[in-house]
Amino acid sequence: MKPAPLIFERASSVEQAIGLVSECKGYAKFLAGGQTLGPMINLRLAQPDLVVDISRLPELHGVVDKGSHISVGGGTLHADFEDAVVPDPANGLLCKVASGIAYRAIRNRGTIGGSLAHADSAAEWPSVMMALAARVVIHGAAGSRTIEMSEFIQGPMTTVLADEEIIVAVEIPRASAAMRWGFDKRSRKVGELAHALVVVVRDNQKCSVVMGATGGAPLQLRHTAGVLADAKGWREGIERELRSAYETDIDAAQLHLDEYDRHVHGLAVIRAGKEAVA
Amino acid sequence: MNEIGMTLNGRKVQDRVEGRCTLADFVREQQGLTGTHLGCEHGVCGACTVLMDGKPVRSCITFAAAADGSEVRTIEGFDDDKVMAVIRRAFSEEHGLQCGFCTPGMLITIRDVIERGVATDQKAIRVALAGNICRCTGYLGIVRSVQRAVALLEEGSQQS
Repeated sequence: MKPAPLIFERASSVEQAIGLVSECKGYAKFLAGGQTLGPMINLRLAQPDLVVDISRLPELHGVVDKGSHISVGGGTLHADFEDAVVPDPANGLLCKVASGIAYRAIRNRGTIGGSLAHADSAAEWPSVMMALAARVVIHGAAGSRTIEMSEFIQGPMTTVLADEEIIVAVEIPRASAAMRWGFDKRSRKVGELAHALVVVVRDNQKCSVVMGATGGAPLQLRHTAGVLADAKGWREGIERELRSAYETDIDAAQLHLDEYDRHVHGLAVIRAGKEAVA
Repeated sequence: MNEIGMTLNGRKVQDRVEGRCTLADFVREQQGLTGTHLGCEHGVCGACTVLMDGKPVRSCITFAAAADGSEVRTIEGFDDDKVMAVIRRAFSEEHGLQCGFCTPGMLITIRDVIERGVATDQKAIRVALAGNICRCTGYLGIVRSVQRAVALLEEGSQQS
């Protein structure tokens, strides 16, 4: 299908972009890579009156090494992570994750800020950034603020972002050299959104396990993380313990999964856990 | 309406487009370059793939106005491209197309896959082409064409 009529403006600065959206009397959307919003507009599921292109704003590009973390511009492309144009503070996790996002032509346009703002838990960055305890730097009409990933996403495709706020940067903590990660994405076809997605990050006896593709916000699996935090190698019986902890987490979150989905997500937990431990 | 300018297949073009006009519709309808095909129009089939500033992008989900100031190359813009000539020859020899609808997007994607050096084996080629759908399901011939093109290019570089 073709988009409904809309006004397209390319902003020349973050401030101007925020102004354009704030002043719009109708429905206005920022457009970064447009790899989700584009299809939604073509399918007329989204019919904005105004689209403000922020893809080339210099403020949304570039990487700053701040020692304890790196700050990457919200407009950083998936392909830049894949090609390691952006340094990977997470021991290769970002590179691995990025290479599995959709297809190369999508990764050449799609941005990390756009993916987080869209907050689809079947996409990779929301869960991965949550597991890494990243922070989101937001600019809006009322000024700027920095939000922990764990508080940023509130529900299915719902974030704390106001209409006129832009993710200008993502602060990704620098992992220790000993940090180990595991990542497993299940989908029927290469490049599709995840049917099941689990990321495990183990650093300094702390462990974070986040499950995506929940239908809601990405979910921290705390009991599961507890089992993996203490694990010294893929020992006898750990798989059973992990399964039981995962079931506890799912039930505690009152996540209603049918038998098949419960199994597939569980499989992703085991595979990601094994990768991070073995 | 938006006033836009871009380099299209090496030629400077200036035009006016509606805000909602996609890059695919711009090259097809306003520039008469119908080699860029529209399949799904929501970014999953890959038929509309073009190069924007040297990188493959989906022209169906890129607004024409967003390509203002870019260098765009459609399938019509590869006549003097040596790598593309080899891929085309391989497609012919290995039966890489049946109806040809997916072919423009396939060729542009494959050229990028070869240039980035990721066409290392059959599995890698299939993964790299997962975003280009052939509804004739001619993947066997397409994968063989990529392998043949890689071999021909290697032969060529050894001889020169």
